[in-house]
Amino acid sequence: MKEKGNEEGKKMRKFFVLSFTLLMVFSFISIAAEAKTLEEIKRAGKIVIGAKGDYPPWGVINAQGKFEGWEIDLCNKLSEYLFGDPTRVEYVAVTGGNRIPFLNSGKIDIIWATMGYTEERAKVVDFSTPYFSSGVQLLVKKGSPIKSIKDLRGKTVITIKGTTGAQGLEKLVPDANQIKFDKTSEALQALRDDRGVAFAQDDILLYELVHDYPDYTVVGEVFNPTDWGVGFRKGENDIREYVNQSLKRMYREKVLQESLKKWWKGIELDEYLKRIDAMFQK
Amino acid sequence: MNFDFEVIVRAIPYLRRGVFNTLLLTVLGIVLSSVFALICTPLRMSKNRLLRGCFSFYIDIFRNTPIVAQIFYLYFALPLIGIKVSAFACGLIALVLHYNAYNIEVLRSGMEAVPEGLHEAGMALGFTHLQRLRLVVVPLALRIGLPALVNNYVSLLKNTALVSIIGVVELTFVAQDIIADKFTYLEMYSTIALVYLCLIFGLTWLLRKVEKQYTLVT
Repeated sequence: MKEKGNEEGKKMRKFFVLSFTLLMVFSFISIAAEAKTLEEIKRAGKIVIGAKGDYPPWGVINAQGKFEGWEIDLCNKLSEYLFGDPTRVEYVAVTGGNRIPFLNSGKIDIIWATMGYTEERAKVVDFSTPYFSSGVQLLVKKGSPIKSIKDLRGKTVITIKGTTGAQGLEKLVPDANQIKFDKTSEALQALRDDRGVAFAQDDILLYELVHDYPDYTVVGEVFNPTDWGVGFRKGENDIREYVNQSLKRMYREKVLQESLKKWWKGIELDEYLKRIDAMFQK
Repeated sequence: MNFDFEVIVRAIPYLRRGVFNTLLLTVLGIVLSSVFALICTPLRMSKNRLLRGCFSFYIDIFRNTPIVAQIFYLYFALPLIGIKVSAFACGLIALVLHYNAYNIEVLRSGMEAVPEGLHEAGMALGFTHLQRLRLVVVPLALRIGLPALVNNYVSLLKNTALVSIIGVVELTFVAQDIIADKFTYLEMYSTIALVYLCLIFGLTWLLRKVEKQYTLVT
């Protein structure tokens, strides 16, 4: 009986040693998807773009299962510039949490999904020149005592993992208790269930949500403002340069502004158009 | 992209909180799902058709739907009819309900494997129905079902990871949260894989001891 126990112990030890060795081996293997060039995309005849499917009006999947929204318009325009045909885009719905792994594992060619510039992100992906900018505000029930992020001290706040809202609150109000979700829909439902006093997220999305949920309102000063850019794998400079030029062209041809006017139903349109002007005239 | 050990070291306090909650969910899950199974199994095998039907309905529901759906249902659907419990409680309840269903079936097959002769022997000794269950049938059924129960327990430990979807700060949640900020996929997923491996080895080692102690000598 005792011998058997020893044998089992040995087996287990062997397994541990083996798994640890494997871990060490993995740690020295660099992993990166193979870099693509603009030529390869042109030759493939389509571009695979990671876009938001749950973020109106920037990128949503409509009742027919089609992607639509402001960013989708811009993606289609890019496809028109690239292939002379706006429909050569293959869309992949991404979330704030999975878009960068999707890019770096080669599932998508570029990220065009409401991605704000942060230093952490810039370490793992390259950004285009900015085409928009947003900040974080709070969504609360109408009549809520929460008026500013200072009121969040010691309260429970709903956020989305990895967003500038979650990171900004961590720094500005570290003693607020955050419940973090993966998706906007989950966060919103949690807010409606009163699981937190506020939902901290990009102001533009919140203004859009207020449209659909009139019992809620956007409050607080704008914090953690960020410029939005298209994301590329590190070093794919030809694709990035092409997108930069395309963005400039979209601004010149007023595609960018007209499409924003078409989609944006919020109240601060002029403010956003001014931000865009400032960005492109720099 | 190289392996950065510092990321792991810096994450240790947060990871510790994750491990604590994973363990708490596992221990509570195992204890509660087992205790309930002990109570529910005789009812599941009751002569009362309604009672039996109710339990077999419950087992069918919980064995034939994904546990992720059950977790989401408890967390997001029940508040709409006025029942609201915390994320941790929702996760625990989902795990207990799910594994209770599995444990009941294990115990039931164990009880059915107890030879009729032993029931009769119990009766001949003048034991009541409850005494026969407590002194003869259940101890035997537990021993017969032990290997299958151990399977369920290990599976429960692994499935605590699913509770991360409603924001319970357990091991997987911690990894995903750090990754969402720092993009350290390799480091964090390797770390939690190793931690899970250790936890599961620990659990199986413990349970194997129990199994050895109570194994049936035939």
